Amino acid sequence: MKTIYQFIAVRFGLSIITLLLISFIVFSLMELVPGNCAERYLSFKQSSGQNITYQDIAAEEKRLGLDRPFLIRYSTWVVNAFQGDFGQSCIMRVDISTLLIPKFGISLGICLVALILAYSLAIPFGIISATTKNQTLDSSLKFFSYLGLAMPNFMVALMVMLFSTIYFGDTLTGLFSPEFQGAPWSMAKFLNFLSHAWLPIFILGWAATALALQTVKALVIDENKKLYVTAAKARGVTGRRLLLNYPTRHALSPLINSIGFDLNRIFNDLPIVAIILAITDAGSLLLQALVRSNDQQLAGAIIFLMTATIIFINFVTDIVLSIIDPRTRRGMLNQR
Amino acid sequence: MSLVKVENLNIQFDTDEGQLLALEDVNFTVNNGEILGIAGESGSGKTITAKSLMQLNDENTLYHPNSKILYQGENLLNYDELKMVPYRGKIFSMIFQEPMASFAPAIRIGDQMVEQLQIHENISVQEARERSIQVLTSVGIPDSATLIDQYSYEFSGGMRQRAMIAMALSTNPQLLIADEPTTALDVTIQAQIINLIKREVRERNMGVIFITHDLALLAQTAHRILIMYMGKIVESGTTYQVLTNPQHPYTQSLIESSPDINNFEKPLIPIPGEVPLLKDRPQGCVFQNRCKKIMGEACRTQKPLTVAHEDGHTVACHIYHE
Ligand SMILES: Nc1ncnc2c1ncn2[C@@H]1O[C@H](COP(=O)(O)OP(=O)(O)O)[C@@H](O)[C@H]1O
Ligand SMILES: [Mg+2]
Repeated sequence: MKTIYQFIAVRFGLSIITLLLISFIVFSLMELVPGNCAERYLSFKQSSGQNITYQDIAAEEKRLGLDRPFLIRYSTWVVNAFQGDFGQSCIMRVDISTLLIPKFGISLGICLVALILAYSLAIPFGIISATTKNQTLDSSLKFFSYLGLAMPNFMVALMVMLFSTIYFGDTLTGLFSPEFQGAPWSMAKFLNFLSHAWLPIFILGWAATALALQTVKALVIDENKKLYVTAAKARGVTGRRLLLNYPTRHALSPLINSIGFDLNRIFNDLPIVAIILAITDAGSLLLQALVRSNDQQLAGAIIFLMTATIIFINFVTDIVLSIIDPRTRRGMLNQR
Repeated sequence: MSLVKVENLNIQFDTDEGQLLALEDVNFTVNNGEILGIAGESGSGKTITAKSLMQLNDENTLYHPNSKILYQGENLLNYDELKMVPYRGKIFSMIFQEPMASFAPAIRIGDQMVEQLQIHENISVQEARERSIQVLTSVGIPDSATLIDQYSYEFSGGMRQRAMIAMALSTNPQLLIADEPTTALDVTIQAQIINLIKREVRERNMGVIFITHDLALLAQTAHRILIMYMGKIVESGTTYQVLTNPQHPYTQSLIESSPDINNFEKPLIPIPGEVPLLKDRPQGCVFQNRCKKIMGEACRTQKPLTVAHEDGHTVACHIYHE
């Protein structure tokens, strides 16, 4: 059992190193964007008709600490970022954390719920579809999957909107009804949120379920053909015990491996769905920050948060993996 | 005393290319305390014969209604999954060619052994564990009290096959089916495993079906031999009868193609071609395409009958038909 703690420690160290590395790349990219925050800060003065001098810019740079060497600025940024402080937006002149964290929480919540839903449906139904002799059942699961895989998310989103407008006279867009927009959080607001959030969750979750279901099915069928399953049968193991303890248990490890990728994919799908459903999530904020306003501070913060999340999920799945399949531990610790 | 009797075993596989005959009129018995060898090239049907005894064949297998696998007068082929349980890992046990692949990789070896004991016997985890450690030690695994908590990938090839044998013997089976148990191992380890199996047969008076493609190995181990080709037993008899006085051209060819460590001069004559696919099963004698003694019309069109050459020695070849 000592090795499992060793494994967690090593794996945690690796995650931190990865995150530092990525934060460095993100910060360097932020620097590459032409112009700096001081210029952006001052540009509003110009738009209100005042003149800006080089001295003004230099003073502003000094105020923001932009005159310090690159590595110092990077380390300050990274230390603050790890504490959830991303400084001020260059354009909107507001604290990024205050602006971003709630939106990011909503994005993450939607993605995670979609992911959990997808896997908790895909695992049992994937196993059923891999082992059933009932043709109708298998075909309907296949139909459901192919539909989910073939229809692009934005199309499903548009279709749902169209139908709801025609049949319910409500567009179902946004995350809150107008009366809760901007209201402080309350039970009623939370319920109202849920009554709206199921839609993006459903849209994102469908495709994710379909994909995971096909993966589970293929993995279980594959494992079922292996000799250790026949050998277990030859020892008298039968029925559900055989199915769960042998092919299913061994199919889980590659499946858990794919969770990280899946979250990444859902994250990438969310902005488009969010735009159609008029939800401002962190992803659409990122697009806005990058494309419209060149807000490097904000963009950097969003990318940092997203990578941190994905690295964290991969960390967790690797730990789970090392518990159910000890072979994975060996590779990482490089022990015999 | 006869332990298991196989009568008229005929199986077909339901495939995309139709229903293909894979075993044809296989008949044999295994006795207590006896090692019965089954030999033949790859694809001859040795493994599917062995798996039939425990109904482990793939789902597309069709057993002919007249086929019988008799144990104490009962035809096991009539049994369902539930009734088969005691014949899987208790009365009969099986070990496979690939020791690595026959253990579930993510489950400790000990847990797999305890599971088997608990399925077949009313026994506590603690007792099952102790019994497992004891059997592991008896097959020559040192420090088995520690190794029992390891995974199969932490074992060497020879150790794995020993552990597999220990697992198969842990329930004191009456019949051990060993499907090429040493093919994947080094020769020195092979010798250890063979000696182990021979010792256990002597001590336990159990029957063994020993499958291999290596005739020299059978000369060392088996009391009787079946030579199999394309799902048919083409020759059978005592080891001495079959290996010193082979009657079937296939047996003769197999012997001619095997090396002899005491005779450097012996020319090795390979058998031309290879075992046909099931869908290319020939009419008449199944060996005709590769037979150096082929005689003509009868070989091409008629199935040879199995005739007794001498007491206990049978052969299925047209040469011996009057
Ligand atoms: N489930 C199956 N469906 C179709 N053909 C099969 C199946 N299982 C085995 N066979 C075929 O049966 C023949 C005998 O196989 P096997 O008993 O494994 O040979 P051996 O063990 O003597 O090498 C081979 O041609 C093999 O391809
Ligand atoms: Mg075989």
